[in-house]
Amino acid sequence: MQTTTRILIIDDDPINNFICRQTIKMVSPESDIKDFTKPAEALTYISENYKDGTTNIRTILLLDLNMNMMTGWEFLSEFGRHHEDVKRVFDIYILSSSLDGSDRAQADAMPEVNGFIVKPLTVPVLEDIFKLV
Amino acid sequence: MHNKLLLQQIKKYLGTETPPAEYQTLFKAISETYTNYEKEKEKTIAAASIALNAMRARGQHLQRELLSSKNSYQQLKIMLENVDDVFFTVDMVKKETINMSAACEKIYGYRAIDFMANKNLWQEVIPEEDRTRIQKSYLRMYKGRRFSHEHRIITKSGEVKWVETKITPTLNKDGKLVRIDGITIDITQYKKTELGLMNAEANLRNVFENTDMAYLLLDKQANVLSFNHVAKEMLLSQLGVTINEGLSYFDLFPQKSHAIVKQKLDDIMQKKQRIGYETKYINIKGVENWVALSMHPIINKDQEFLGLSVAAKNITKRKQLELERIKITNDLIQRNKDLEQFTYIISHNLRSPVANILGLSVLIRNPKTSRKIKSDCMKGLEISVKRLDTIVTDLNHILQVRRGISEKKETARFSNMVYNITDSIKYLVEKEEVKINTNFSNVDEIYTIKSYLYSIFYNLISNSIKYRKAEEPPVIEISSTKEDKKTILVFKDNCMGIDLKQHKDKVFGLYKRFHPNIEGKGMGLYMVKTQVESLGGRIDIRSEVNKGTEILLEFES
Repeated sequence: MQTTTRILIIDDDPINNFICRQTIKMVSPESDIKDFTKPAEALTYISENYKDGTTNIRTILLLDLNMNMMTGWEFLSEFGRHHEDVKRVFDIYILSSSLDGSDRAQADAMPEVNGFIVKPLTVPVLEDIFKLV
Repeated sequence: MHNKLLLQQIKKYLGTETPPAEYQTLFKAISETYTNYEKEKEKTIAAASIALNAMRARGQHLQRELLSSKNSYQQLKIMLENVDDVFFTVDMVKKETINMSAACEKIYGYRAIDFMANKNLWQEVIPEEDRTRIQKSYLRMYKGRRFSHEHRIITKSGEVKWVETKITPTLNKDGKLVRIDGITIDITQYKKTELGLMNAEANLRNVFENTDMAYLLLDKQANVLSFNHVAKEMLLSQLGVTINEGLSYFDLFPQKSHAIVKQKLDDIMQKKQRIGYETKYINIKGVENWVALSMHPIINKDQEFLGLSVAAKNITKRKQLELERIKITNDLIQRNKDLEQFTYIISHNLRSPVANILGLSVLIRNPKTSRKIKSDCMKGLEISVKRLDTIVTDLNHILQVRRGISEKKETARFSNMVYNITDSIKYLVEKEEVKINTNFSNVDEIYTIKSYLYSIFYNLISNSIKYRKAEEPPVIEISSTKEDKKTILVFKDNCMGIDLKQHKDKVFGLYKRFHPNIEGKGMGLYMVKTQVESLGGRIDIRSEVNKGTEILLEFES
């Protein structure tokens, strides 16, 4: 496990964020974990901390789909406006409670999304994610 | 012209002893013939009288033929023998057929000889019923009066034909009938056509009258030629117009429709093709009706426009059913969409706390988890289970409302309802300085399920209070009107409003919220919509951010 891995959790459900945090700590205790219940704040954080090409911290993004203020798709659309050098650093995973096939299909169709995970986030799944970083 | 008999004949036919110029040559010829053929004098006179008869009956062309001959008698004879009409003479004293032209064979099948041999043959060829019918004419005959009649004959071969016979009787000086000269014309073809036409007309009239469609026949100037009784009744009862032959098609319709009528007529005259269309109108009793019109052009073989036929049928009932069916279908489609959305949301929202419960239980069961964390997990578990329970309860509630038509209906008064609600939240109303203005002067009651209506009012009022503007106390205006057969309620407030451009299709959605800083599940408007719709009504919303919201409810009263 690289120490310079950061994980951003974007989900308006604090319980989910708690579960993710605890689970990640079991797999990679040294990782820098940040969770956002307001997607807008996450976007601000990314803009401020990932200037073009100057950030080398590999970042895993766990993104929920059904958020009240902004959906996961809307977030991705906003995020997509960043420079390629910024986006390069991220491994984006959709983390959703949805069992709906169409949501998964939509995620599969997006090249910037690395994968679709059904909640709850578990240790084996996390281990796979870390291997791919 | 010495011959007395001839003179007599001339006087008889022409009314004067001096024949007019055009006959001079003819008589010269006949008198010559007479002088030369003494023993044929009977025949000559017969020929002359027949010729004269024929002239009167048939016109100029025969005259010309007769006058152009050198040997008139021969010509006459030839002509007489060659026409298809039968010339005959009967001696009424001896009851003998003196003369019968050869054409008789063509018409009767019998030869002249047969007629001469059998005195009564000329009677016998006439069928029984016709004989009786033409008896009357014979009376004239005996009085010396000319006549003509139509009757059937049965030929030698048994064929039935129609003939017209013109008879000129001759009385002696004692007034007794001594002879008749006649001409028989075969009118079978004509009669067939005439009968055919009569039949066709009868059939057409039958169809024309025994139908539930209104028919009009117009000429090329669009004037009414004929119409059936259905058309007459329809125009009278629907438009208060009395139709008559000769009226213009335009006269049947009110002034304001003339432009469209003209357009349709021009259309059909130009295209020479049938046009059909449906249109609605208000009849003289003020009732809306629908009519289907079919207009056919009548064109001759030279592609000329002769006129047109108009067929009309009142289709109000059919149209109303059609429109109702379309409405029901649209309603069903919408309800189906709602239901799909509903099941999607529910299943989604159910899974969310379940996923949390799974995640939390994994953490709890992991021996590596610290006690503090385990404790936090328990708290999280409790919250998630409660959330799950809430959703299941909401689901139950919604399903009950959806199914709720079996609930009892009664008369509910709007003013009472508002009073009860404001009374129950008196503390809140005072605290927030809520102003509620009502106007139920148009209609103050409705026959409905009271509990649903109460819930609707309650949700809308509490929404307006909950989403008030910070700087302004909430002002709520509730008013009612009656339109057509519907009762309409309007809820207007001066509160935060919703950005409908962004959220128009989510505003009545389940668990959808637009103001995260304010407490709420996102069920209020969804419930209102569900309840309104299960009462058979409609809901609509207008809103502007920071100005206010207007909600429209429409119920069948």
